[in-house]
Amino acid sequence: MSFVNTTFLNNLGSADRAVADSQDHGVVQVDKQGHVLMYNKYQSELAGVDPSTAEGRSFFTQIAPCTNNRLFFGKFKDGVAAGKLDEAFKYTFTFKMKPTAVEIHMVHDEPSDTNWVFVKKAA
Amino acid sequence: MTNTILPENWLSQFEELVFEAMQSTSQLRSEYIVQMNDAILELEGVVDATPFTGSLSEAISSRFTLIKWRHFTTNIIREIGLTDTSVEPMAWAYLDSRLTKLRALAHVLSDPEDEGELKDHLVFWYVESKSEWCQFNCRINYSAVRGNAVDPLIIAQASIGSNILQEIERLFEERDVEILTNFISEPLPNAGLLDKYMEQSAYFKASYESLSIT
Repeated sequence: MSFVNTTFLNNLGSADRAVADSQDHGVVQVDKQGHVLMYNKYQSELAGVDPSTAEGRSFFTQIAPCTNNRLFFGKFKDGVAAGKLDEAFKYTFTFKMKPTAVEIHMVHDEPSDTNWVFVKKAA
Repeated sequence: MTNTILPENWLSQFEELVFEAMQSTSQLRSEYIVQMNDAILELEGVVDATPFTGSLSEAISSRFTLIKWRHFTTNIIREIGLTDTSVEPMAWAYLDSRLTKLRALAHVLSDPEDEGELKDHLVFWYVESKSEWCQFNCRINYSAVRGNAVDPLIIAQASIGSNILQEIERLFEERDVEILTNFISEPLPNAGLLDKYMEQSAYFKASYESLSIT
């Protein structure tokens, strides 16, 4: 079961920054190539990266290079190519922070044709 | 600044002496660490967010002292909660190998005329360190996915490495960091692009030279 709130998950098309910032987990909206379109407050604080720095850059190679492998970016690329990205898994962030265990959920929202990476620090 | 009394590398020699003494007396060492904890972090902090104003060589020497980073390493190991006592000396050894290389470059290329060359070597050092960090990250995450225990030393090394990288990036222009990040994220395709560019340059140069203008 995903840590992402179902109401939020079902209304991704209308999720603006205020809504994203109100979530108790990281919300990263990315385009099909993985460039960051929106980077919420939780994620900014977890990674120590300002939203203005993250937005416009590649999430997988520039902002969180620890995700640039088959386990993470590979799943994203495969899911986007297949048009049905919905992957949940555990991961460890290691870049510019002490290794931090997190839960990840990546989804493609079909109605709004948007892609999302959700991150929650493991309990 | 020239000092006629103390040898040029007195600080690193002093650090080594202090740490040798500390390692031989564990109680003294832990007391020292506790005392240094607040002093260093409050006054200096591991990460110095201020832009550097002096030479690159001075910035490296002042921001990458062994004493500061060993202290940081000890804290990291405590924060991660690694209980294996053999990890700390090995993590220090890793830290020392990284910083000694870096400081040696800064020392040997300390002349203002060497600034450009030092920057080039800093790039080599950065690529080497980040590539190594990529391998640590890979081992941590693949071990976890395969259900294998993650080597605690790798966890410590990944932490140390990523924090040093963060600090060294402050010595580069933002654009330089971006170029290096892009290169490391996909070295072969990027190297391939460069290769293609070189091929095309050679082709255009040859075509231009073959033109006979009478």
